[in-house]
Amino acid sequence: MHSFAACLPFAILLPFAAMILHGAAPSRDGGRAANRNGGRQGGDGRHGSDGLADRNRAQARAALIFQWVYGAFLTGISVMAMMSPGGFRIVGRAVALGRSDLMVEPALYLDARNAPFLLLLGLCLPLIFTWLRDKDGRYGPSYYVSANLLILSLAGVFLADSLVLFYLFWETALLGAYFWIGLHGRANIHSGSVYSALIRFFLFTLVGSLPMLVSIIALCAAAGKDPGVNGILSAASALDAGQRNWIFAGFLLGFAVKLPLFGFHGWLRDTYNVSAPACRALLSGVMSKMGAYGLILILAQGFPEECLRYAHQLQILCVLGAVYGALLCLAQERLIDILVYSSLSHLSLLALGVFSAAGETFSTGLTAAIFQVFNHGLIMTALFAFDARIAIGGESPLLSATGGLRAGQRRLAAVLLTAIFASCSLPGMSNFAGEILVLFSAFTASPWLTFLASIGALIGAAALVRGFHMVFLGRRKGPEAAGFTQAPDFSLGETGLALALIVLWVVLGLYPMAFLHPVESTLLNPAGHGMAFLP
Amino acid sequence: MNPYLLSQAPLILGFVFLLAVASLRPTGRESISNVIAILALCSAAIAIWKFLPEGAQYFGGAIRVTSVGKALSYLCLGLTAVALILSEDYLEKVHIHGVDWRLVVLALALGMVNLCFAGDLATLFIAYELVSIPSYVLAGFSHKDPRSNEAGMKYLLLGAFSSVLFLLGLSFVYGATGEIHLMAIHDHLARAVEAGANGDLILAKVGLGFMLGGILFKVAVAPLHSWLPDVYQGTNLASLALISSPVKVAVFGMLGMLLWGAFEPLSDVWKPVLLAGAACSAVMGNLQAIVQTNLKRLVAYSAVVNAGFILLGILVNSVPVVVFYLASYGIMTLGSWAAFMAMGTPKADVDELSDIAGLGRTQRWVALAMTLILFSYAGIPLTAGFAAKFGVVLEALKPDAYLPHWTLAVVYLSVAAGLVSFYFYFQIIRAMWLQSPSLESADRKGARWPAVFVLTLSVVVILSLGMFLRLPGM
Repeated sequence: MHSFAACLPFAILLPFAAMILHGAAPSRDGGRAANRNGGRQGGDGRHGSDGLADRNRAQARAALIFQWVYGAFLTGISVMAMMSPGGFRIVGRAVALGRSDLMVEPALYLDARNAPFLLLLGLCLPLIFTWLRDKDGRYGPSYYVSANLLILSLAGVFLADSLVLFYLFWETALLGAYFWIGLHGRANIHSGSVYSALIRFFLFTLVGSLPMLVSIIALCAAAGKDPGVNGILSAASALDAGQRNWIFAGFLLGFAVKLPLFGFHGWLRDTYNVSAPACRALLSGVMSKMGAYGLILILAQGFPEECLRYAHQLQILCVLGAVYGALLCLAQERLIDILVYSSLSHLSLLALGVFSAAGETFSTGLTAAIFQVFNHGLIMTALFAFDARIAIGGESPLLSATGGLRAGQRRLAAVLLTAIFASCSLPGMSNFAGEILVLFSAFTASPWLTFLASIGALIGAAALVRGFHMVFLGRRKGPEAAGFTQAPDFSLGETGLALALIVLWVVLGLYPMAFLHPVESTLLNPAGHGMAFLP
Repeated sequence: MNPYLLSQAPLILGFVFLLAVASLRPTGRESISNVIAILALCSAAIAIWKFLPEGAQYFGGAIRVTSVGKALSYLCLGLTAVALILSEDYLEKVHIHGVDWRLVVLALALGMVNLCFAGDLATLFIAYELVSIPSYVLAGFSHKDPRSNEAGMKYLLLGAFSSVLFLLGLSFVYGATGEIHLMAIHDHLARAVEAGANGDLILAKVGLGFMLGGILFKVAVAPLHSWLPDVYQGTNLASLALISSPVKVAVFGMLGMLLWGAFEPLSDVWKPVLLAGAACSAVMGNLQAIVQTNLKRLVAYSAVVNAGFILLGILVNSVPVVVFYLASYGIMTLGSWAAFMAMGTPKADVDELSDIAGLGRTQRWVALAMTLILFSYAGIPLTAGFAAKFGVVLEALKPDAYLPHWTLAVVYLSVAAGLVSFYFYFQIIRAMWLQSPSLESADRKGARWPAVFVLTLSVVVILSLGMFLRLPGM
């Protein structure tokens, strides 16, 4: 068990190594090549020679292999952590942050509470990099460098126990997304320019993360050391109620923007629209779960009193998001926008589970929320990936201009429809189990809000099915009307991967206790880490 | 021989030696003059470490050695030495005679060291002027460049104004207390505050006000910062490396030592002033930087923002925090000038944001290093800038540190205004990484070794200060 905890840093080091290797690879980004061609082509190598495309394809292959290996590694350690009571923890040598009275212990932990997040990342990465593999050699190494920066930060955020480390990865995740979107995003006529979307996303996130930093520093000041994600409760108890309120508010702002909650979602649509398909899938599938992680493991666990005090206001915010997102789904013109807002609606439901977790339903609400994190992440990853595979170039279809696409993409249509059903909480699939639990927990808190939220879920489901109907069924329209060329259908392997995912949904839908039991028992009794120390 | 004279001897001897070299005017001896100047600085640091015990007083208290003063003097000498390395082959490009220039730098170094050790009002003022006058000369050194003339003139006129204010303040304080030694002034003021002798105190408070006005003007704390961007823009990069880094460190250090030392009894006068300065710097520095497209002016506004944070550090009465902040700020600033030197073409320096478009493709290492320095400015973890800001805010938020609500409000304001600074630092990052190179940038030659060396050095220092190093004794 002790030796097993030593694996945890590799969850961060592996993508870091991949990042360095991708960055060191020769490419069009390389200084010398650009210097040579800069004069003639204006430095734009997007339409480079075949050799360039070949090199980029080789990078894509390498990335695919790496993400499978890394995904298997993450899946392995998360499943191990969920099965072993107490989980694992590893502490590094304390380092000074500027002065000797401020030592920070870099600690990582993994138990059944955060393992679902890591498991989600481990499952999503192979899916994303397989379905959205760069077959045309369009993306240079900088694509994989920024992707791996984001990936290592996601793993770091989910694993970090010390708050300074948590903040570090929180910021580097933003940087990874910044460069991934900025370098490889593409604007279309439905979105603004890449940069305007990017800077909005960037500033929105910082509006949340800077107050969070102040809260982290305040907790460090109160505890005299870095209290760690698991030590917030005791560190905060030393403060008076007024100070705790402010600290709570700082954290809440950070997580509300990231998730996003209703009112903090201004960055959502354009950011997803301009980012590269793989980036979009990872952003929605895993990065938004950083916010969920904070809500569940920092706010609900560290500030139970404050959560209870403001529960009603926060629940209203969640229900507003669930209903508003669903209504927006109805008004959208394009499949991707429906997905974006249905994601907003579902994430609000998830947050409702967190904020209605109190008293008797404390562990039910949080367990359900963690389960929903896992379900929502996988479903959104699949949906965004499938959406990007409809057209060559990843353009999302316009509902009114397309129709009958199923004729050309039977396999894709089948798995997309199944994923949409999963997202609509079809009984027997895992999302149903999670959503029922969330609504059950919310019902004990406030029946009326629960009623409204379920209406929202219903509307969102209807909009998604309607979207599928308009794009894939009905009379077939030509590429002139659609404005894009339909991509080839899923290969057998890709379909097989999707089927495996669907099997996972059904298995967890029929027997959710396999997932819920370890999470709930650890939530109720989080102590008892298998400790290990780095030399 | 007097140990203090011994410790200053390397600088004085180096000065005299360079003067001799300069008067003989041997051409092509620039590198040798640089080596001599750097040697003089290093041996001065060693002499200070060897000969000056903490707590010693010389010349009847005119010089007083403290641990903070020693730490600051090492810092100033080290940063000056790094700036000299940076000047190695740059001065030729801006048509400056290197031997003359280094002569002025040694005089400046002498002033900074004395500023760190000043024990009475007279030494304080002399050292202050010995720092100021070479700074004006440095700013206007490229006398054929009209921008440089403007910078030098602006700096001289406004700097002279601030010196006069400072001197006026000193004379008021002397008049109020009848003392010239800083320790004696402290005791006198403490007694007066205890006895409630308002008559004396009013004069001293007015004097302190004038001094603060002068110093805050000098370090460009908002709203007294409007000259700074013009001076930065006009000054050549080598001189700027000195004016913006070691000189800032010395003057801020002096401010801290004065306020924590002699004027500690009057803290209810200077604390609100610093608080207001910090708030104004955070707001004005950040907001004015938004519309800037000139690189040097951007860094100037970031200097204003950082000045606000340093004032907060002084305000929370924490010596280690301030020294650490000054160290990291000094090296960050030098690193950014080194990066600008490395980005320049053989004929011209980089000027506008558009000049560095696509730098990530043409000069990857320089762009990476500059990105890291900007992360440090913005305060992203793992960098010195983050550790420094973290320290200031941590000190302010400590539950046992009694701070009025206003102080906390200003701390929050500074962090919130940091959001804007992220925006303008990332404008530079955007230009480097997300934009395509322009045609002219193709004839950018590889950077020369001094700039690359200093850039690498500053990256190493920024990362190690940010991650594990702590300053000795802090």
